[in-house]
Amino acid sequence: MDAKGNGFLDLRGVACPMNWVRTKMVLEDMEIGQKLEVILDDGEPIRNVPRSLKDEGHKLLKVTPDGNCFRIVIERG
Amino acid sequence: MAEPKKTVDVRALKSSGFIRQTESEYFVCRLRIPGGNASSEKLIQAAELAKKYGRGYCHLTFQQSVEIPYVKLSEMDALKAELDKLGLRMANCGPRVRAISACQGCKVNPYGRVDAPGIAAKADEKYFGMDTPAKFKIAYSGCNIGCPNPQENDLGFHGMVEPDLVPDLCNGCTLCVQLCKSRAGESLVMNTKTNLPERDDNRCTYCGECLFCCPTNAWVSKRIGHAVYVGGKHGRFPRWADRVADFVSDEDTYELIEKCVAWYNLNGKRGERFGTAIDRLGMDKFKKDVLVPKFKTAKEWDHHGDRPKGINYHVLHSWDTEESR
Repeated sequence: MDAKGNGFLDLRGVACPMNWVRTKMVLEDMEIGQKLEVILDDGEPIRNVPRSLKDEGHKLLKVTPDGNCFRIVIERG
Repeated sequence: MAEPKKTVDVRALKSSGFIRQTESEYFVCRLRIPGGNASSEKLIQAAELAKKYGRGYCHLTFQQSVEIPYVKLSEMDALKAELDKLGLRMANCGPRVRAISACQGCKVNPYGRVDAPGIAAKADEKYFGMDTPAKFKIAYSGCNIGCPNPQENDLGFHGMVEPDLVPDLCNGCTLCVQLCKSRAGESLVMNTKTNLPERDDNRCTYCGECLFCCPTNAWVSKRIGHAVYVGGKHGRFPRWADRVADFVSDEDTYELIEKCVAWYNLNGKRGERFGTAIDRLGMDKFKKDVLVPKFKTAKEWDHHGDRPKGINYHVLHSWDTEESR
């Protein structure tokens, strides 16, 4: 976590639903409006994690492809 | 003097759902599970009957029926009486409309776009058992992943949805563009000027992935319907079905079944599958007789400018205004 409280999580190779559980745990310790960058694998992870974010009221700001993975930026809701 | 051999009308039995096995004294009893959904109670009853009349096991067929193998010829009547009492219905075999199969559909599967088993069960009530020149199989799939193999059935349907963007709701995260690239038709690209995704009608597979994934619900459904495939079959000479119409409403799929069966009965030769009859007489004739002018593919609709009214058709699309420009 940096000085502004923004976080980073590398979840390459972490399968569903553990990737979401770990994302959620980090988000819970953050303040509303702070940002978390997460690296997710293609396939189920990039489909499932954003859907769970939506269900819990967090915001997905950006998705960027990075090789076989995606970097996503989440705003704590 | 030998006892007179009891003659069996195997054909008549087939239509009622008893199918002769390799050993001629045994029959398979095929139960009808329209749309692939059966209550726990019915399944338990079927299992109990398999214990009593068969050899204690059931076979699950590829057309979603439950079969009780090894029913003795002498016990068939007793089994039939028990089935009737329990309200368990039998499926069929032979040259007729078979029990209609379906996947779980939109109520269970998040990918699903239509209630495939519900629609299939209704269609099954209406059209099951209608006589045709050869077997006639119908399948409903909830989405275009097509698990019930709509392209390999005489008549197949899969759900489809046309997405439409509400620009004010989009925050430009690009998730839909990424998922469309890796999973669907690559029909979405990001417009760097507006920071909004743009959809190419020619590449869109109408799977609804963008609608499903959108974190801000910026994609909405403009219309939902069924894609229609005719003339598919597997077997010794497989034939991949032809896609002949898009965005057909639930009710209109019933109309299509009726029309296709009528056309098949009028034009098909005995023992000839639906697709073979279409090939022999030409797709143009089939389209003229059955589809024109009501049923068209999305591309054909686009070409003629006049779109069908699907279940959910309420937002006008950009091409609607193009002509008036």
